Amino acid sequence: MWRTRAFFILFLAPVLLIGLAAPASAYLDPGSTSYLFQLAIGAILGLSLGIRAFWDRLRMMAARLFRRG
Amino acid sequence: MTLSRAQPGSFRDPHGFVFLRDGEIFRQVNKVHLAAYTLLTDSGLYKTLVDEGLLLEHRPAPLSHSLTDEAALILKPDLVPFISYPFEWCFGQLRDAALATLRIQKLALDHGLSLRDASAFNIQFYNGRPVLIDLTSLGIYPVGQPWVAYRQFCQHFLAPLALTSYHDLRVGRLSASYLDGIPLDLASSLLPWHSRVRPGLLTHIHLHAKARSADGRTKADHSGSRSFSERSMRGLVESLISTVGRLSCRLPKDGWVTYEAGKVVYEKSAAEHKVVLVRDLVEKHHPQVVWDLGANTGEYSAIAAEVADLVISLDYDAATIERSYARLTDSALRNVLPLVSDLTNPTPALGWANRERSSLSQRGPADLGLALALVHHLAIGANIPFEQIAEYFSQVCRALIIEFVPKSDSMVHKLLAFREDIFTGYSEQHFEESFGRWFSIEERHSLPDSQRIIYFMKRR
Repeated sequence: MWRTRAFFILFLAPVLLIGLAAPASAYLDPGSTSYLFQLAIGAILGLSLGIRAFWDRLRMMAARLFRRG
Repeated sequence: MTLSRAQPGSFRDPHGFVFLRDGEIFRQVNKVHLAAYTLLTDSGLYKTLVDEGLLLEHRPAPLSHSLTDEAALILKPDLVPFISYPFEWCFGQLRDAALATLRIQKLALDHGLSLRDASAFNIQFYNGRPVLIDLTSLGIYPVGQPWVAYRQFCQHFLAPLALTSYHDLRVGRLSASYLDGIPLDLASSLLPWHSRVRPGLLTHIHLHAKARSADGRTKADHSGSRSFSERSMRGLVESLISTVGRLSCRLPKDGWVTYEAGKVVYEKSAAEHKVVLVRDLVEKHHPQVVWDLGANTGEYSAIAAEVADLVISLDYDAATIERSYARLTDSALRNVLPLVSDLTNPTPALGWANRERSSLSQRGPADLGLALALVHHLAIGANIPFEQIAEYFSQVCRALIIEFVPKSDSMVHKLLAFREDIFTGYSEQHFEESFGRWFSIEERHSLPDSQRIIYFMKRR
């Protein structure tokens, strides 16, 4: 039961609650499913950007450390 | 008299279109796009993209050239000498075009702009590299909104790349049947189960294909709620870059890709003589545009490129074009464009009213065609009579360097090894008679230690 609630809150609610904004100056039809899909995964994408940036910084620091050594 | 007409493939976008005027290409930028164009130039994005070789340079042209009253300004882009299409590209070319599109989007976001579409047809190969030709694709970044071109990018680029990567290089031709990209549900059903292990493909193909709106199509909310942050947009672009970058293709271990022109069927002296002869003939006739028909991995395309302005290197075997492109990318040669094209079924005119995308022959004729070690494959391998080969070649080339391969040759023996020899008309005499109807045979050279003959002919 709590798992169903958690799933609803985490994934479905943002999709249902957030309204569709009209794409500005777009002759291309983005497709309602693609539009909503991006909204659904938006938070994960933003998080992944942060993680990627963190790993890149870590790799650069490690490279500098080993160069000095 | 001024003759202006909009290009058949440029009509969908109300922000602008490309047109031909007295044989020159121009782009009309409409008033609705003026704010975006101003930001493109003022923000420095235009200069950045041109300097990185990602956007064609556009120069101002007189507004009097405009075709309609909606024009805000007219631009003259650098001319792309040969238009090619995504379904003619090898895996490497499509991948580089995809990465160029994503790099453009990344730079656009840095300058307050965003791609309004991500069609593979917006990319052309110019000086050997992928470049954006549709300047009006760059619009003002719509804050808070998801990427309008996301699905198009996945269908035009990611789906065919993934299918080629997981299956076979020949799958790339599927894009010719789906001009707006391979539908995601089709791509998802065709990809193997283990493609779901990759988070990028799982997200952008499989889950994307299965996504359904919670309550069907909803009415657009014009309040412009900030529901998709710029951070999410950048995360999306980085995820797509990573997903595309991890895809690769495998070349077959046998077949045409292992045949290096000259090394398999020629004696050393014949092979060397052929190279010198072809180089001399190309230099003597100094063509601007050469089509290398049945180019394999492009050895003779490279020779022609020493002299010609542009060489289109065509072969039906996707693996050979893959290798050809990989070699060109590592070389300094910028005037060779390898493309996958089956001469027995060349690209037809496609799209709306069969006019949006030109057939192969509509993009010719070439000043010179090379048909080396080819004609026996068409005549015997594909059962096409000499007369019809000659007629088609005369449509696509003004002049021809062509190699006749006699029945005594080992390669023809192989072609006839397991079939009945119905080719009673396959002879040097009949070859010369057939081609003589469409071409004037000007030179004839026998190769030493070989019975093959090289001809130079000019279209009548």
